[in-house]
Formats: sequence, C-alpha cells, structure tokens
Amino acid sequence: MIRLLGSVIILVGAGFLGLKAASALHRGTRSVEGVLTSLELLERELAFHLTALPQLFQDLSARAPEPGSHLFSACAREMNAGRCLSDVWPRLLEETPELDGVLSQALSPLGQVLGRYEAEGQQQAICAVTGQLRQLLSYRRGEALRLGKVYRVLGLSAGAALVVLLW
Amino acid sequence: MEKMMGFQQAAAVLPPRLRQMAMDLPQRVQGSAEEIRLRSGGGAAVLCAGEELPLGGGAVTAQDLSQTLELASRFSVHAVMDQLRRGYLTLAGGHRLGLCGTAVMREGEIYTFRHLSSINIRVARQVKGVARPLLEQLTCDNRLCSTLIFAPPGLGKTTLLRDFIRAVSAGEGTAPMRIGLADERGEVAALWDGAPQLDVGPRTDVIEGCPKAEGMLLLLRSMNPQVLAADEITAPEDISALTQAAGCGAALLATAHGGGREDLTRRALYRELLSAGVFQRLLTIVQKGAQRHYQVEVLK
Repeated sequence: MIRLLGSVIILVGAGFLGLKAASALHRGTRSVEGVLTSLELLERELAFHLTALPQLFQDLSARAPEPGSHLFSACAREMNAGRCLSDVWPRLLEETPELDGVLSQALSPLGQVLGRYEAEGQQQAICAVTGQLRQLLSYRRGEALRLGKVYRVLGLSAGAALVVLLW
Repeated sequence: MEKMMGFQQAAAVLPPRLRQMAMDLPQRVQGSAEEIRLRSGGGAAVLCAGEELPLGGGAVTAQDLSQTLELASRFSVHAVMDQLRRGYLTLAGGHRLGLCGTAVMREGEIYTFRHLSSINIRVARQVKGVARPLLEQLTCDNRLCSTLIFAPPGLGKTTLLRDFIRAVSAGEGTAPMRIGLADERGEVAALWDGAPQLDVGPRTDVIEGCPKAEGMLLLLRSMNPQVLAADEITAPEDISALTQAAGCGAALLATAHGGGREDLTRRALYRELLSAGVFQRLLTIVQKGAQRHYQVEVLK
C-alpha cells in the first residue's frame, strides 16, 4: 500500500515538475505579450496626446497589462519625484518582476530616448523595440508549443520510469 | 507670502544645487523677485526691482541648463516642442521659462535648441483688482462694451486684460458673463494640465496653443461666449475673426501693441481694425514717471 502511494506521489510530483517547466515557457510568452501591448499603448498616446511622461505613465499603469503596468507605475513614481528617466530606467527594469534578461535588454534603449526627443523620434524607438519583441514573441510561442509538450511528457515519463525502477 | 510662494514654485525647476540657493534667499528678496536668470559660464542671478542679485554657487554649467529644461518640461520634450520652438515654456503656476542658445532650423523655422546658453524664468505676478476702477467706463447697461487695450510693450496690457477677464467673468462691476479666451501663447491664463494657473474667473473657457483667429472662431462655434478675449492682435486674420465675432453679438476684449494713439491711424493693420468698427472703447496705457495712467476713449 505504501509502495503504491509512493509511486503515485512520484508520478504526480514528476508530472507537476514537467507542467511547471511548460508553464514557465508560457509565462515568458505572456510577459512579452504584456510588454508589447503596453508599448503599443505608449506609442499611440505619445503620438496622439503628446502627454508629459509622468502623467502618461501614471495613466497607462492603470490600463496596461503586466508587467508593463508595474514598470509604468514605477516610472511615474520616480519621475514625479524629480528623477530623470534615463537615470532610473535600468534599475526599474531590473526591479520589475516578470521582466527576464532578454526582455530587459530589448527595453533598455528606451531609457535614453523616452522624453528626450520629439514624439516621432520616440515612436521610432518604440517601433524598433516592438519589432524585436515581436520576433522574440514568435520565437517564444514556437518554443512554448514545442518544448511545452516535451516537458509535460518528459515529466510524466520520468515519473513513470522512476516508479518502474523502484518496483 | 503669495509672492514668495510664486518664487519658490518657479525655482522648483532649477537643478537641486541652484534650487537650494534660491530657497535660502531672504524672504524679502524672494517676495520681490521678478526673474531668475541662468547664463552658461556666468553666475545665476535673481532680478529684483530691475537689479540682478547674484545667487552664488559658482558658474552655471551647460548641464545645469539642460537639467533645468528637463525639470521644466517634466522630462517630456515632446510635450513642449511647440513652445520650445517659440523659445519659452509655461510652468506650473503660470511662470514662464525663456530659452536662448544655438537654434536648429528646419524649413526656415526654429526646430529646437542644440545647446542652451541662457535661461530666464519669469515669476508670474497677477495684479488683481487693477481693472476694477476702469470697468465703469467700459460698460453700458451693465454690459461690457467691446474694448481694445492699446499700449507699448511692458506697460501691463496682458495683466490688465487678464484682470478684466477675471472681473467680468466673476461679475465684479458688471453682470457676470461667459468669456471665451483665445490664449495663443498661454500668457493670459497659462493652462497647466488643463487648469488655468492665473485667475481668469469662473466663467472663462480657454483655448491655448492655436492661432488666435482659429481659436476665436472655435470658441464662437463651440462655447457660445458672451465676451471673446484675445491678447495681441497682430494679423489680418485676427481682425477678420474679431469682425465675425462682433457680428455674432459677442463683446470683444483685445490688446494691441503700439507706441501711442497715433499708431492706430498710422499702421494699416490697426486702421483696418478701427474701420471695422467692432470696438466701442479704446483704453490706452501711458507711463508718466513711475505711474501708469489709463485713458478710456469712446469710439464711434
């Protein structure tokens, strides 16, 4: 009975690990989607309303999906405290949960552009970043589709193999 | 106290080093300061009663000037590009930051400034009540007559116009009226986040940043003003818009630059303005010694 119970636990545990690995891949995809949507909102607002950045970040923090919402909220807070975006941008990228190294690297050039040039110049910079992010999204979606299945099956198979070995 | 707070609000856009020195100035100086001047390579100074008092703190650097601009624009150059091209920025509180430097030209117009050489922050001062004694002469049947304020630069035309707007809008000395203000350069109401930084009364609708003529016609179409106000009539289109507004029954309040009364008949633009017959009163400001005198003339 205990053996059977142990086997079930091993099987469920290994399966869970496989699912967790697969869900991490999907989370990475969702982060890119969230940042893309946030940047598209930022670009439109910059082009249409020419709002000052602290106000714009404040407004967008309520409308943008995560992790954009978190990042924009932190930007508004820092700028309202009189700190220049280019000085705080790298730190804010680091402190934003769900922004992994690749995403942070893609976003980092914006710190030197946002608020420092005319709206068109900023739009061009955002477009360049969103172009990169679209490529990243497409790559991550492919990975999530391909590796997600592999991780799930691998988790269950590894659990089953361990159970067989133990029996 | 109000004047001192105005100075501190204007000084808030200075870099921390200079801001601290400005805040440390005696209250008497803060209360009478008219301008804060920064010149690259020179010292920072505060203009009080026509005299520049050094702020101290050594030479102003290019970094100080660009930091001041960043703070004044709220780190958002794109939001103030139109103003930058005209060489100034409106600050919270209605203060005005003027810029000088190496201009970058595009298609014959200033596009931006590559390097800043000087910054001048003019502390906004509102003189409430200055229009009150004149209102009686500018009203008939408790309604405001269309009035042109005419004076040389620097005699307080805009200040007077602003106070007329405030008083008429609030119903001081006349029936309260809805006023549409075409504030092309943001000097009268100084909108900041949509709110006037200078008191233009409770019944005043302001359009800022667009050419006066266009602004006046837009106000006429959309806001149904009883009085239409504009600062500095300078173009034939302005006169055309004023004529159209007068035809719609709105009273007019406007200012124009000129050396003296004779300029109204000498300059073609003003001749046209007078011949349009849209104004019933002409208010001229004359400086005699330290005193300013206001003369009201009834126009036929």
